[in-house]
Amino acid sequence: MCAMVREDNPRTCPQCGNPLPAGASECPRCDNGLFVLLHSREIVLSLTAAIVIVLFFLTGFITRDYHQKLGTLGRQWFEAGEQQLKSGNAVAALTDFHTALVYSPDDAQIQFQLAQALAAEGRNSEARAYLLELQAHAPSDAPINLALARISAGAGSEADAVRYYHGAIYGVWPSEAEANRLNARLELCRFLIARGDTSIAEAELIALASEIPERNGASLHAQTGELFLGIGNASRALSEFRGALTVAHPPKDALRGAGLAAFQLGEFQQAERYLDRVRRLGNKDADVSHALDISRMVTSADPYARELSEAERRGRARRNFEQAFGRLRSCAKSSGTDLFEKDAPHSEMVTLGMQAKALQPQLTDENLRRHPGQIDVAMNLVFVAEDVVTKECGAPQGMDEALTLIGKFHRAGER
Amino acid sequence: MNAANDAAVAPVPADSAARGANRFVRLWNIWRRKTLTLREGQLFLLLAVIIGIVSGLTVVCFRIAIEWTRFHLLGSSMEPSHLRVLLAPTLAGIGVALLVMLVFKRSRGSGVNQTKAAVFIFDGYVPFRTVIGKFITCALAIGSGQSLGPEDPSLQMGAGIASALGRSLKLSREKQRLIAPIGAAAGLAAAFNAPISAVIFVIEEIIGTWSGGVLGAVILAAISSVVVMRNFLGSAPMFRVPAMEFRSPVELIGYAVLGVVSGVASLAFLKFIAYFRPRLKQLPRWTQYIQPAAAGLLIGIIGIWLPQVMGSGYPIIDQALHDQFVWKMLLLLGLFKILATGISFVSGTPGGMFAPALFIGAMLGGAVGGVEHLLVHRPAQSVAAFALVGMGTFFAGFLRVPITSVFMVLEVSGNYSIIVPAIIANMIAYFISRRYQHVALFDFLARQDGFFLPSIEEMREHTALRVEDAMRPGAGIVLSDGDSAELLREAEASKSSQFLVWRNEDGWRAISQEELRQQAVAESTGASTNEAPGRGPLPQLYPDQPLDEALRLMGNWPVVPVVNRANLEKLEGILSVEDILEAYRKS
Repeated sequence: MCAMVREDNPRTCPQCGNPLPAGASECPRCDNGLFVLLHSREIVLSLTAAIVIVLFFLTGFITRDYHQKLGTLGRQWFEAGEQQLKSGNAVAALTDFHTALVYSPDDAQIQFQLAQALAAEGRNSEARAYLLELQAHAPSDAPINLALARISAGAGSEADAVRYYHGAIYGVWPSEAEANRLNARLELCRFLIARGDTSIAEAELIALASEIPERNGASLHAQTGELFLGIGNASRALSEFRGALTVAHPPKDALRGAGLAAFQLGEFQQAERYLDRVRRLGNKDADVSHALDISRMVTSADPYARELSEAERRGRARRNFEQAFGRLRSCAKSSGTDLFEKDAPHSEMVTLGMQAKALQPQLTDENLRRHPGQIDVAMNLVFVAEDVVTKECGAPQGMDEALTLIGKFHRAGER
Repeated sequence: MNAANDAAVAPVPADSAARGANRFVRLWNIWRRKTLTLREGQLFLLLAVIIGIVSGLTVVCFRIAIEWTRFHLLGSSMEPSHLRVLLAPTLAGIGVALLVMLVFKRSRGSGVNQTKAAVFIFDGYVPFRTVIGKFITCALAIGSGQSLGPEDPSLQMGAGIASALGRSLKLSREKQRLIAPIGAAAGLAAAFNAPISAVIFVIEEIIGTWSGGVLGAVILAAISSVVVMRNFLGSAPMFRVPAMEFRSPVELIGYAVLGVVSGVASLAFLKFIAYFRPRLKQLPRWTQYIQPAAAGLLIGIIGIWLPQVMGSGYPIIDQALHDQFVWKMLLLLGLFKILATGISFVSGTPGGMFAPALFIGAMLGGAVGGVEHLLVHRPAQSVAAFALVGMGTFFAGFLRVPITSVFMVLEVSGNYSIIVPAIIANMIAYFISRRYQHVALFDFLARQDGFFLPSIEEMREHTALRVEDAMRPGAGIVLSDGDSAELLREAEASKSSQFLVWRNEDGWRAISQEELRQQAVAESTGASTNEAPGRGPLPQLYPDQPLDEALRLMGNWPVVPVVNRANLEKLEGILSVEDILEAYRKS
């Protein structure tokens, strides 16, 4: 394009603004086609595009190198942190993990390790912050949920803990998923029991029991049984202990648990068998000894036991009556009551005493043989007397406890 | 110019080969002009994308340069050795001072007010030398541990790139002036990884108006740069913000307290800079060679004890967002960061204030959250939530960009439930800062440098006058349309001499009693024409129109009608030039 020079300013070109040669009326630059071409917008834009492409590649090259460097640094600091952790220097490990995270901010492994280290140091809120962020990105990640559950459990936040434990149970495990899920549920059950939330714990235990594999599940069976026993579900506890006892080398506590569960269930013969084995294995625990002794007394005193001769049944009934009557008398005496005095104040014990005194002459072997129904009458009086005396004079001991248990399970069986 | 014209003015070449080549170029130019040439508007949008890409690439390289400098000067540890902490910022300070004083003289400061000055004073001109200078000096300063950030320099670099491209393409002066903010938005968006905040900041602080003409280009540039930046540095947000939610209005009490604390802290920081910066600039020139080094030494001394305050501090903000510090430590970090950043900035070391402002806000927010946790048995919000809101709150109080600060919190966190606390805390901080520091940071920095730039803050709050503010409601006598005799009778019944007439054919007209009389006489003598009575049609105004627009529309008419937009026949009032001037006088 040719630019004519404006008359009002003969010294510069209005097109490009450059000074004009002396005497020239036209701009030599703007009149030069090649100059105009090279300074055209299209050419400038094309050159810019070419420069952008070159810059792109150059930046790509620089960035790749930069990312490699960051990755290396992140890994180095992470390994340094793990070394510090192994050597017991948790504070230095935390600093190293933090540094590693600066260079590899998206590395979930570093974040998780840092969170674990923080939690191990008792800095739960700090650990929680990292874990929450990890969980936001991977909500079904089971180890993250488990770590969060432990922190929430430690903080006493039951609802959160249960939610995260469930996240761990139903989440994705990188390896050994089945075992980890069972362990997570077991941990949840322990947490719930410790919190006293037995109804939810029982539901979780039932779920857990149903998931325990047949192979290699003995230890879990025993642990589940122990927890069932802890919440008073002896029936399921016994079932779990039995499951644990099916293997060649059952867990040590399985036998003991089975004995105690059987004892709680009123299966005294089984309890005696299990507990006897426990005792022989060297266990001298007081609860085991007590349960074993009582079980033995029950099995030797229960007139309702199967496969007893009639004579033995009668004998046991008479002995039980004497035992209970004796306890009634001594309880009355200790409380200053004469059971057989005419003017004795009316009370349950006095009534029972009178009934026992009236019944006692009828409990001869001959009479019982002719009237077997008298055994039930005598035993009912025994059970009532033991209950009343327990209310008046405290918990029964020894044979009286055995009689109380016989009464409890006999009545439950009748119902 | 067409081909014939081109041919007519072409000089005659000396030989036939040259003649042929020149002819080819000439033909190419003609074809190019007819087929390839973009209109200025199209070119502007294309340029916005190119600016975004180039700015994005530059910012990527800039961030890497800062990191490389840090690796080499301070090492990769978060707690460098004491020797490095003392020597790196001091020696780098000497280098930075030499570069700024001798080679890149326009590289001082943050870059925001320089960009603003370019827009308002220098027709959008930002020398490309400044881009290079900013890149080198800021990378050196921030990488060596000076307590400054990379965002404001990125903003200026973007503006410089845009300005250079605009000059190369010989854009019109108007477009050249607009192109610098487009580059600024691109640079800031890439540095901040937050395109929305960057766009709003540029609109809120640099341009000052939501002009439709530039908004599209600003958004295009910002998005292009962020896409490029994410392509190279990853799409992860600047901070990994833990999940949080706003549950109860009671929580707002804590956030209101945070607003007060941040407002007071931002005020203290502003006063610090406003007091010390001019005083240090007034010192003998030779001292300016050592001021950055002295600042570096002081920061190094602080860094021995609190290395977290060195550099931009992003990793530390991340840790604060993850509850990694107790409240006392957070408070300490916040206060010492104010000191360190103030020292760095007033010494003339090039670098930005965005990152330090975010750092201080996060630390103070975390501290307030930590105290709340001490006082309240079961606080609803984590410390991280306070740190996050605190970032925006201090930002709002310090940089006085309340809208940007709210969007920044949203963009950084991706969490919309935090918007209510963010707005409340930000507004409190903003109003405290505004109440006790009348001139905003970038305005007083510009004034200290001798530029009296328009205060965007004041522009924002300036109320535009409208026609309804100046018009005389109820004034103006309207004559009903009819023949001249009827109109004259109606006019003679009135005391006025000037009237308005509505005609369905051509709208409002003005007519005087004398004109009516002459027209009536002409009609009665049979000399009547078909011309409409009076003068017109008059321009019609609406009550909601801005006064400056009304002034343009009025032309030479002494009085124009103001009518209802729903009913053009309904006269709301009249407006004269005197009315407009009176309204401006009163405002």
